[in-house]
Amino acid sequence: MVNLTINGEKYTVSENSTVLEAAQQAGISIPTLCSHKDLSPYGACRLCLVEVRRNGRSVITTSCNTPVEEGMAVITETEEVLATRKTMAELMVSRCPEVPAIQRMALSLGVTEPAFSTENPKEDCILCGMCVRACDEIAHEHVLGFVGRGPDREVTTAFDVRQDVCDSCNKCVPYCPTGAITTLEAPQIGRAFKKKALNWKRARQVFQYATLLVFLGLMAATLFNVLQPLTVNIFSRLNPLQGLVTMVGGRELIANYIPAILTVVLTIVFGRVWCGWFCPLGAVFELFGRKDRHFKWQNLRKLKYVILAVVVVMAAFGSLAFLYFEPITIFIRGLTAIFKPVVQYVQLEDKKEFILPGFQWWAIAIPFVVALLLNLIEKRFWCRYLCPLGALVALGSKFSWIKRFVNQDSCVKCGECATLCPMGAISPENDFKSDPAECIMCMDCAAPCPKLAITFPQGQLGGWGYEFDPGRREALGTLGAGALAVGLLSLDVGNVKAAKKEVLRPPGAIFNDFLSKCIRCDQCIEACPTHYIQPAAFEAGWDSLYTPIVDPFLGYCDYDCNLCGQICPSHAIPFLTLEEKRKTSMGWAQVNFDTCVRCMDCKDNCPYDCFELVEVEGLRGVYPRVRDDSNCVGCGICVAICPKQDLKAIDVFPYGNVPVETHKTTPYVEA
Amino acid sequence: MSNATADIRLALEDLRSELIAAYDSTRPCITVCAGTGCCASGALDVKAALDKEVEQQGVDLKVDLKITGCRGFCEQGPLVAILPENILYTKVKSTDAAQIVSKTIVAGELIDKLLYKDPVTGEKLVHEHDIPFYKEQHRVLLHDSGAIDPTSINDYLIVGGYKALAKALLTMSPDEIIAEVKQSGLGGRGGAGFPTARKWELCRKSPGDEKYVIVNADEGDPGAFQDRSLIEANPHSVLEGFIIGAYAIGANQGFIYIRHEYPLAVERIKIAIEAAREQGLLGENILGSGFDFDVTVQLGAGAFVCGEETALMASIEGYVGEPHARPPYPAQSGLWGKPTNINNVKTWATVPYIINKGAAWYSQMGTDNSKGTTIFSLVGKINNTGLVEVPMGISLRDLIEKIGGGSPSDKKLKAVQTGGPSGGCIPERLWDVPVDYDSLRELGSIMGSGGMIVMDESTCMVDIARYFLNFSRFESCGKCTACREGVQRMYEILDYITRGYGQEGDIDVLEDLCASIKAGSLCGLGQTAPNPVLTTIKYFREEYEAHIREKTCPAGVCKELITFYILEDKCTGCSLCARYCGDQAISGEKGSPYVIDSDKCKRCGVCREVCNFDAVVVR
Repeated sequence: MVNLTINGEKYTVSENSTVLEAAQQAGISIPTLCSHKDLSPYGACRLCLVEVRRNGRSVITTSCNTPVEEGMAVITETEEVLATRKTMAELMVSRCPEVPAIQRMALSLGVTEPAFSTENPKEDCILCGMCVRACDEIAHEHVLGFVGRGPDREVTTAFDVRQDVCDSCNKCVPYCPTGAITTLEAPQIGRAFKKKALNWKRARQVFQYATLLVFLGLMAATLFNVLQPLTVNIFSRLNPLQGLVTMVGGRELIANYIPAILTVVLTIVFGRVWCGWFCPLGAVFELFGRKDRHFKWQNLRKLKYVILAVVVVMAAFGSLAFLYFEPITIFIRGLTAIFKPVVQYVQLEDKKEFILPGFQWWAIAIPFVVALLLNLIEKRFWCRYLCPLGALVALGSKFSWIKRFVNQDSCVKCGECATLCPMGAISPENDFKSDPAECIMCMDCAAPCPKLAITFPQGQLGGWGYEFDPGRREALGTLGAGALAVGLLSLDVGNVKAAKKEVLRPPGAIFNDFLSKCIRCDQCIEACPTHYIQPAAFEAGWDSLYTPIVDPFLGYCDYDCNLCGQICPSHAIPFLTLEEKRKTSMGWAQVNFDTCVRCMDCKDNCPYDCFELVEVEGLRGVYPRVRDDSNCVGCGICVAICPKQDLKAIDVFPYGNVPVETHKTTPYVEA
Repeated sequence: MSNATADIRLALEDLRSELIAAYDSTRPCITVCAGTGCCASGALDVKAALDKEVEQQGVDLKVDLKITGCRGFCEQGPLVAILPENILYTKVKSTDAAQIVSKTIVAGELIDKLLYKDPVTGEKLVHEHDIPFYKEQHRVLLHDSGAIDPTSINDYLIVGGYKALAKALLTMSPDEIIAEVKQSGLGGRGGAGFPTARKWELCRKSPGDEKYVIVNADEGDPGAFQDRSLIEANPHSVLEGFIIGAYAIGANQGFIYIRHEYPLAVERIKIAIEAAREQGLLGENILGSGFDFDVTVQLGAGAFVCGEETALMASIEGYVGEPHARPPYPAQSGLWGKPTNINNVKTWATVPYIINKGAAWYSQMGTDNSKGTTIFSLVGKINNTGLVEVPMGISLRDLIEKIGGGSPSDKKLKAVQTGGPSGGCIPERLWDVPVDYDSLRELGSIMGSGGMIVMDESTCMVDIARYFLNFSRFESCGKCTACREGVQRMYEILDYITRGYGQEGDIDVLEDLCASIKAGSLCGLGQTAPNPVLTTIKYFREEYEAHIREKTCPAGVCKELITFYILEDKCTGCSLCARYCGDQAISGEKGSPYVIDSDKCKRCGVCREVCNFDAVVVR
């Protein structure tokens, strides 16, 4: 053992240590760049300079390669040492002005900007010799070396023959402090690791776009009514947010949502894979948009938690109104709005009969279009700031078993990963770590990492303590927003309660706590082959936006169809057999005798045989009329068939809202 | 001393006596200086011509003809000296050969036109020792340079060669040798002046059976050639000192690291080694002393940094010539991890003289702290350029003005640069200081290995600093940041200044950089690279300021800052300048003064050179 003093304190260290090691053991930090515990000291960067006094002589020397000596006195920071270190930092950052690791090092030594200009600002090799030593001492390959003197010095292989001599063992790669080793033009270096990482990335992309294709396929199947309904709504049923709020809102367990448990389990194990691997809307977002953290108000990421909480709180009060923020439903509505009219047009034999839908129809696509436009600001803007489903899985990801991990020993803070993250989840301010709640496990960052520092290991703890953790403010905000929303609804702004009774709903919906369970996915609208089911705007009240209503002037309810009940994932439209559906009333048809032309098409075509013939007081002739004791369910076939639709010769009315007949009628008795 | 040993020693002495007996010191001998300098000016042609003449004129039995090593007076080469009178003929051409033989050898007459003419007095000087250049010198190492044929070991034996080796190996213990050297006060002639004996002692005491010694003949300073000349002129003296040192240190293997740009020196040292081996002076059981030692010549590829001892050893080991940190010092762990001692050519060559004549004789020369003599390559704007050997402590003024003969033109001498790229510029006003390690270091320069460049008023000091930094930046190995990046940046700043882009504050930046590079560099190259800048700033700050503030170059050197113009009263209108001007920048009519268009002028200076009336001047 050797006794020495460092900054006046006495220490005893092993005789084989260097001054740097002795100082580090004593907890005294000395900046270094070219020194690494695995490699022999080299003394190139000159950052670790200290003043050493022995035998009455004082010299400034590098601590990394000065062995300790008995009686040596070391002073780690004198004015001259600090000034020289600073100059070294200035020189290095002037050589590599764009390398983040060098910038950070320089900043820590008080250099804010390069002191000198350089001809090649892209230079990223600082000539520290770590790769050369790793090749010699770790890999024992002796492939890398320095060539040239002075300004011409560079790291390369003998005679620049690279592929032939380097067997891509990758051992040099993690030692490079600047990330320059990837630009060594040795294409095979790091290949194996990168290949693995790249394979995962590819697998993820394949899975993601396959999922998108499946989703689109299911949508097409819904539009053309070719698949069994239970598979068509699988994306909704895998969706834990829908499951949660419909069950909370409807106060019942909905068996349809059993698959959502799978998503919960996957989230607990793998993190936010729903967003990165499954979500078809996310796949669309990935197709374009800027990747980095570009948006000014990054703190808005917490907003998604607020939206989630508002959605859940309102569900607890029985309203699912805010569920139109749910991404799967947004996507379904968007696709429905666009493709339903297309399919309708294609299927029409006489194209002249096609009526372009009005604004109310297109309005259901607004959230989809807005989300796509927001993507122009930042890629996955929706997922980052707004998505309540994302927020829900994000909370789960905080506890996930597998998380993204940045090996801080290898990371050189080059910042490459941050520019590649589609979520902007990687924080340049926080050593390029990422909040597991923001990371969607896309693994795009792993392969390009020049130091292969990014891995996805198991069993890491600590999902909290990141910059966008939902906090007390969000919780309070949520309660406030939820209360306000519920209050507004209960105050019945816009005459909601009265209006509720005045709309026609799909079969079975009116017997049900419909608004507490309808997820506004509009898949029933998409599925309805006869276009009877249409989206609501505000006619049924503010909280009925995007809910399905039926419109006899646009379609009718097919006697042999119960698709809407089959497809509804949340049973807001209850599953009814054909028999049951035929007995389930949506409304009541009534003939307007003033405009009826007595063609009797309605009477002739009514599948329920609801019509009687009557004589109307003050009018000539015999008119059709829905019998008071008939089985009319409001299917709208009579309206659809009526030649005087434009004059509303017959109409269907909500059950409790059937107008009083203006004419007195007497049953017609055949003479 | 065993009989066998005595026999071997006697054999050497017998040979020497035989040679001396056969040597007729009165017999005329024509010696042709065949140092690199004289060879370059045609010495070998002269030798061939003399050969032919000697034969044709039938005096081949009466006269000897041989080549010698460098006589030092390279300015006047090719040099031919006639022994035994030591008549020195300068600037000899091969056409003079016939005359030399017929007149001087046969008729005993002097050839007036070949004699050296003193530029001050105009007097013709016959003998070498009359010439001021030689008169003021004190030649120890160079004493035999002009007398012996460097390719002949016999010549060396005649002048007493290898006597010191025999004395050291057979009568002295290694410790006694080290003590003798210690007493002599010999300092490392490579530039730093580290006491040679202490270095040897450290290496000797360092544990290990296998040790190495190295001759550092990697002389790379621009304008320095003393190591080369010494090896070319007297390789055996280096070899003898080397063997003595190896014996003192306990090394059995030696390396002579010499740059491949010195082909003549390489050839001669190889011949010398071969001859020494044949005489049993190298190899096993040298002179029967039981001491084994052999030498390998290792060629360097010409990197300046390989003169640094750790880089030199890396180069011998086959690695890139890059220095490494000390400790461990070479004396502890040098070549292949074994204790190693490296000394400069001149240091090794001094050892035989110390052993022969004693430490007391040696230490009487020089100053208190710097003993003995040292060799300088004296070059630049002086009359007598060449190789000079002077005792330590001679004043710079004596060296430059007496030996060097002062300025050849009417321009005032301004400064002298010592120590090459590692040294500094010393202004004329400080030339009275003695030349020794300490004094030069105090002035901010170093002794270096002996380069000495004299500059006059027409030298721009900023440009000189830029020149040396340009050398240093390309010769830096590039390993450490301070030297690789720092010297480069200093060069860039100086380059800007000389091109008129200097800014206020540049001098401060330079000084800061200098301090950091000096403190932060790994090896001597980087630690001393700022010296040319520091000393020029220190002594010639006003020149820097003129460049930066007034954008003028007082010496008229920096092209971007000067304008050529023609003095009307001096111009005769001869049109010579206009005809030479490559850029058609000079116009005028014959008979009336010409004018230079400064927009077209590229400042090549050819007009000034060709003008016979000094009408072209720089502003």
